[in-house]
Amino acid sequence: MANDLEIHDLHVEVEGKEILRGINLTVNKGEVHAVMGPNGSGKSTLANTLLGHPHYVVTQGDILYKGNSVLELKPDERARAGMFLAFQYPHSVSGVTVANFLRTALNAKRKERMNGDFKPIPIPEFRKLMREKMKLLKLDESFATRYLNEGFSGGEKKRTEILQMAVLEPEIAILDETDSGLDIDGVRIVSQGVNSLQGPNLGILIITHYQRILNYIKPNFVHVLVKGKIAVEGGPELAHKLEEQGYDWVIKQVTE
Amino acid sequence: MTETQTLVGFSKQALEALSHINGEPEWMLARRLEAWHVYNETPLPGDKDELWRRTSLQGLKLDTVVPFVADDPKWTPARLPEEFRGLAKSRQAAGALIMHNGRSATAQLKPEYRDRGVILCDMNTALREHPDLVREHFMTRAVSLAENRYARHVNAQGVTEHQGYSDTIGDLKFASLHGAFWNGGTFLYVPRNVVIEQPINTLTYFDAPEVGIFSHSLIILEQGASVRLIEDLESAANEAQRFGSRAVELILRPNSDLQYFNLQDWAQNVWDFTSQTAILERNTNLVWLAGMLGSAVTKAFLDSRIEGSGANVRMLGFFFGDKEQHFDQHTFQNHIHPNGKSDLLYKGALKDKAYSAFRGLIRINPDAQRSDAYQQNRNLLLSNRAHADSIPELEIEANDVRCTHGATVGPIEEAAVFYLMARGIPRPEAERLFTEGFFDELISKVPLQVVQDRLFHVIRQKIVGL
Repeated sequence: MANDLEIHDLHVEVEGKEILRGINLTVNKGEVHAVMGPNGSGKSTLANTLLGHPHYVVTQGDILYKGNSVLELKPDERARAGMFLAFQYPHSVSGVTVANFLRTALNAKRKERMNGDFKPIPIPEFRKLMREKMKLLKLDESFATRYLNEGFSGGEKKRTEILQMAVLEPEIAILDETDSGLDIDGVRIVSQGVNSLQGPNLGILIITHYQRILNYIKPNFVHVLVKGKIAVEGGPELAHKLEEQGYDWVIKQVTE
Repeated sequence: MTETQTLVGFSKQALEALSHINGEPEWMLARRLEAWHVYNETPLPGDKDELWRRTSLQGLKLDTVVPFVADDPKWTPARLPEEFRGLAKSRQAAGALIMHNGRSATAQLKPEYRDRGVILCDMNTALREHPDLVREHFMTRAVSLAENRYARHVNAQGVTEHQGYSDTIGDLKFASLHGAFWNGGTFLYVPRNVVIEQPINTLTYFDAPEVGIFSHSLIILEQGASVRLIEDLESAANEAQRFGSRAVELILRPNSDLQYFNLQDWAQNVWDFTSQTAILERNTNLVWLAGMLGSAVTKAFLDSRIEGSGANVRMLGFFFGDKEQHFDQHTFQNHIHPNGKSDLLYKGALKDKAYSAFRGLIRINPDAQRSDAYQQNRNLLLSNRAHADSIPELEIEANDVRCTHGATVGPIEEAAVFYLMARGIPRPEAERLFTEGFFDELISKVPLQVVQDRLFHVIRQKIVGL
């Protein structure tokens, strides 16, 4: 059977400059992978490329989702297929409430699944779902009627990202620096949210600079990204080594 | 000459025929002739005119306009196209008025309001049945031809009294043509202390080819009166161009309260010229929405005159252009008395090759101390061939005032669209969501749910290109 997500020799350019230089990575449902790396190693490029941001150009290699290349798919098609990106810097959308946005997204997914006889999610059912998931992330109910990310604190933005993940139930979730800008309580709440979604139907790819979030969300595999390539791979112990010794030894290894 | 004969073009003879079939009193004919005189004395504005250089009149055909048609006794509202039938027929309405080609009208008003002296009818009927009210208010205070409100005023001593705009005829050319050929429109009179909670709806519908639109809305609220009025303007699409020169006059006597929603949704063969003026006396409240959805070309002058202390006006503008629609709007927040507040928000989206110009003037006269005036115009460009110009202007002659303005023109935010798409929302729907979000700031200020729903419906239709 095909892997759920298979990144094969991926090369990516941004404005003519090569950022990713041949990434190989496989993520299956039920697994937690961490991609760690110093600043400028290409972590966010990897995250955005996976969801098809038009700014990032794949020049070589492939991204396979359940055995099929997604390179020709638009971001919304990838998302409806089951991919999810929790953004490092979630964009605000003025005038669009969190609830309206999430209902639209959920209905877009249902429409695809249900083909001809699509019915939008009934409002009471949607409200119940929202309430349940917001409670999980310790988000006040008033969030449903606030404009998407507008005036949100850093922590509120990150929790709202995980709220979206909880409602949309993806099969492969990419978390881009979800712990950045959060205090300890923030990291704990977000991590608990992610952990409650973990299970055999979800594969997670955590992209992070620091090991901190990995104290809460335990990875099965750790990959270290340096200068657009995976330099070292290992188990959870690799994250601890990086925490203690920093990235210098890996960078040195790559340079030599 | 028989009454059914169709005249083409504007002439003194056509004007007199119109006055005759309307059975008008002498004084109205005299006013028409006076306006006709002003029209003939005023040149057609060209591209050298400061207020007209963004709207070329080159494609305008005035000599083929049919100024009016005779009543069609066979016509009933049941003949309206289905899509418009519901507009003026809300069960919750306190009253409704339907007009066809500027003439045949059916008016309904709940008996409880009729008994209290409220008048709702078309303007031709008002002139017959309530001549004194019409004579007092018709183009005397609000849309008046007595002066050019937009031009620079220099007094006999050579001192500039109002900066205004040099070398402009303002709205005089088409307002005077309207004064000469006005025909039909809404007349609403609310007597002292009568409060009408439910809205009143009107529907103006044109389908006879080349018949000009000369509707005149005259809304008078006596002291302490309160009412909400929704006016829908619709027309059938014809091959030939249709010309319109319409006027709206809102008269608010002290302590009265008006919500006025004017939704222009003409077919895209209409050249729509319009002058609309609100007079706000002491302690009045006005919420005024100007919706510009239809027409090929719209040239609108929308004025609020604060003529009493403590008046409060909220001017809201909603426009959404597609294909080659051209909107050119002038707003004027004119503070003449102190303690007034005017808050303007005009928002528009432009698709395809649509164009919008917004020029907003705030004038605080020397006596208008402690005025608050705000002005915001925001434009969203949904295509790289669409274009918008936004020009705010301030003339402040009092020292104790608060005044702010802002203008933006910008495309849809690609980062936001990507964010929405990354959640599975297809691009057209992401753009719709973003556009609805853009308008939400405006629509949330519209105090009537049915109008809010109507505007969201328009956004959806325009986005998918219906």
